[in-house]
Amino acid sequence: MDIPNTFNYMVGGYVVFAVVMLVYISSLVSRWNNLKLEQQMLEESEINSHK
Amino acid sequence: MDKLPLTTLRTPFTNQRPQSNYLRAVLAIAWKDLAAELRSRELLSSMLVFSLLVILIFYFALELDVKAREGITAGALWVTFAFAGTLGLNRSMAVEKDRGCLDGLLLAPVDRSAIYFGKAISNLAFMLIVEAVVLPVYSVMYNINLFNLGLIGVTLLGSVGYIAVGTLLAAMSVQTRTRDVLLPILLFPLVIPVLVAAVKASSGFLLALEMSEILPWLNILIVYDVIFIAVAFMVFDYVVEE
Amino acid sequence: MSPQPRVLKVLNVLSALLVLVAFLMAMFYAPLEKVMGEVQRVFYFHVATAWVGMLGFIAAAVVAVIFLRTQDLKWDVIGLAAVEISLVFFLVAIVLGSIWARPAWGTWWTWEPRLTTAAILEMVYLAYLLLRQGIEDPDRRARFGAVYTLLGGLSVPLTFISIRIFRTIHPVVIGGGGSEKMGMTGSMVATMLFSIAVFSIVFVTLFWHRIRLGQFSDKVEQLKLKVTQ
Repeated sequence: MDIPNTFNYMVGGYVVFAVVMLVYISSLVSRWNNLKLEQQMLEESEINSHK
Repeated sequence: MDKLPLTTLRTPFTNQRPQSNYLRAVLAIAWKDLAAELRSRELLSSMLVFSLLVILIFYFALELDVKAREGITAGALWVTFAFAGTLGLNRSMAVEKDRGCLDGLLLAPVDRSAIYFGKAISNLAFMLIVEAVVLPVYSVMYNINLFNLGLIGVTLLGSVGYIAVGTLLAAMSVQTRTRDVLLPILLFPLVIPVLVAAVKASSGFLLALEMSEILPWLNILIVYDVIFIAVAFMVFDYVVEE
Repeated sequence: MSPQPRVLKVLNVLSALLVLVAFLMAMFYAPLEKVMGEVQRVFYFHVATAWVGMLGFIAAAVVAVIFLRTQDLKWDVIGLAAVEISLVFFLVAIVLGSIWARPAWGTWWTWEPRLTTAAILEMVYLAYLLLRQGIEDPDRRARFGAVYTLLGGLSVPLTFISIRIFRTIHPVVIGGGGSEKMGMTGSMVATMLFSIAVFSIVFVTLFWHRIRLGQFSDKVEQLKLKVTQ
């Protein structure tokens, strides 16, 4: 009996895995960076308000 | 917020034993809602009209022959109950919040869980009343005999589970920004065991299957009801804390 | 916010490398399956990501109870992290399961108990996130989140059981069987276990990162409250 050619599906599976992981990790990174920016801005305005 | 000690508040209850105090509080809260509803009938009428409309929609949307209709009866009924139920839960809690009743109830010198049981009992009563009307109407419209003790029992068990979780979640959702919209989103994923078991058990009774086949579903309903009533009781305090 | 501890930096590199090794193992060490062909190779990551999802689910439920007992907000950060990671990993598991099902049984979706329960669990997670989004007070947000997580933690196993019974009485014509029926050779088992171990480490790494993010977010939120007063 022939083994069916499901190579494309396999590739699709691993691509999905990679894409979802990369998207999630980059969302973690970008959220972190946004927080850093926000923290900087807030610290600056705190200093300004004390002047 | 600390509970006010019984001795500093002069109410008619302070001279009585704590147990009957609790039960009285539960019944008082339940009766408050039922009495209000008896007078205005707003909630029941909207739930009833909504349910009947859903049944009508099912008839036209599904367009089944007589044989097929018998197969979907249990499912159609429970979809109707589930949606009508959220209407009732939302309104019932919104009324508390909007009129400030919730804050008043929280000041009462009684365990917070009494509020939960009182609300749950009135919510359950409303749902059962709606079901008591929907079942005969469905019987007539679809020409299926629904006066089946097993079916009625399953409806009762399922409604208890649904309302147990629904009351707790409604108390939460009414305190959020999105309010009404959030309740079905919170409720439906959690209530799936009830829906699956109730539909299967109802179908079982309607098709007069062997008890041994229906029993697993009844077990699931009973287990669900017990677990979630217990958990709601334990957790309600956290939901109405200030 | 404090910089990444050295252990975490090591874990970053280790996780990435191990995932690569697991991938290579699935591709070259594991044998070609005769019935389904190459697509069966996604099975290893399907099982491993589902495993991580389960870890996240259990962590979330346990942490919810701990938070309700202690009322310490640090547990809320941990609970949110567990839910988010479980959400992402179960998503991968579900999609991989679907991709595997399509050539194997001719359908994108089988109403198999585990797959269906995973999908319902995703709905519970999304509901949890929506619930949190609708609450501004951090204390109430944490309490409600914990209550809902607890309810979900109890309801989802019951859901699984009821779907299981549903399926045994009611074999579905559309979908196929589950992965229970696959007979696995030694190297397949080894690959699967290795993948599970690797993804457990990935779980710890991402969990740690997500907790740090949550702590940072809370700090900034507090700072915002202070400044706007």
